[in-house]
Amino acid sequence: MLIYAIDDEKAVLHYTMKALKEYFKEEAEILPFSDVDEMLASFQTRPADIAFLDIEMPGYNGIELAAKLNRIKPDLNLVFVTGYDQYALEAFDVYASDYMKKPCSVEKIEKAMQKLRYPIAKEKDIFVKTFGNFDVFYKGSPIRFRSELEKEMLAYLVDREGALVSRQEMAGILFEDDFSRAKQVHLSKIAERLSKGLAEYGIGNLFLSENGYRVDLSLCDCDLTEWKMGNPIYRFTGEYMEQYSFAEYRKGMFEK
Amino acid sequence: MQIYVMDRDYEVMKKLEVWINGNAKFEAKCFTGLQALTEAVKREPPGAVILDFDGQNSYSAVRTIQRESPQTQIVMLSENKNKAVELFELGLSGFLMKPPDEEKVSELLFRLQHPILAKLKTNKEGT
Repeated sequence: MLIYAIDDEKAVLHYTMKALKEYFKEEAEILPFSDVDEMLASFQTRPADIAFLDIEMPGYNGIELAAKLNRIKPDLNLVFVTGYDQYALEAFDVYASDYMKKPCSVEKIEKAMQKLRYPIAKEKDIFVKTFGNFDVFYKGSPIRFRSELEKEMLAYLVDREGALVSRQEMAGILFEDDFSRAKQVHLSKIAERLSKGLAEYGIGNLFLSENGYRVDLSLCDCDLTEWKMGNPIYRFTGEYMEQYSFAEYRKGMFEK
Repeated sequence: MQIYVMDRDYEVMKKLEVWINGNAKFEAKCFTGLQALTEAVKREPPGAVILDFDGQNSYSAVRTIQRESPQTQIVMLSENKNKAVELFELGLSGFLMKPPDEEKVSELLFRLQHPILAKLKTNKEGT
């Protein structure tokens, strides 16, 4: 879990950070900011799950900041930490989870966590990206495949959404319908290397090869799955597994 | 979604009923008192309650509704903008300033049904 805290008064920020660290201990990475532009820049590349925001800051209003953060991450949990009552209605308008009077305390944080608008689900270690180019990430870093054919094999199985794919069908994808003896041996080696490669990351059970091949998508977060479930965070922008010709058919279905 | 409405001001309550019922996805039911409202919530929990705030009785009603039906969203109606702080203290889902206007009610209805979509919609409009 990633948490941001911002206050232009350093003493107040220090106090807020102390309370946050005491509450969350090792369960969250908590980043302090006293400058709005610095916080926004950081949020672009590392959006937080929860943001604790001061409201009255020189040259910047915390409500305006919240609106900008929401545009980057609509399911951000916002908690305002302020000395004033009069911003509560505006805080509600930017979908704040809580409105806390200064000073922040462990007890107030505990109450705020019970009111989060967007409960934080435990993210899975594996993220499969299909929109744009296909890629697989393990704990935030892209998985390195030993060959492009291994990656394409996995991509096809994701496209099939966990359904069992026969060896012949897979050969059709990888070798353009060449299912000769030589290609069958090659196919087996690709599957074996893919399995070993994933096992080195500790995720060998993602790829299953018995009576055919399939992936276990229940072990991953996947943008395609989320989009199909209606999660508005993931939007189809016209590109799907762009490296692979087999994906053209599916892309056509999304565009309808 | 069914929405229960309770306001001491009959005119306000009737306006809300008309606007809510004007949206095909919602159905409003009006109550003249907190006791009738909370009894109805126990019998048939609604998707949301819009409730006039008049002090301790209202707090007690909110706590009852939250206990009996945790999934019911609760919206506060008040003439006092500063009352909005209580919105967070009580864990409420929304706030309507009195007198309510149709546009704000429409936004609220959208938000009650689609919390993240509403956030994206608001952001797109630049507010």
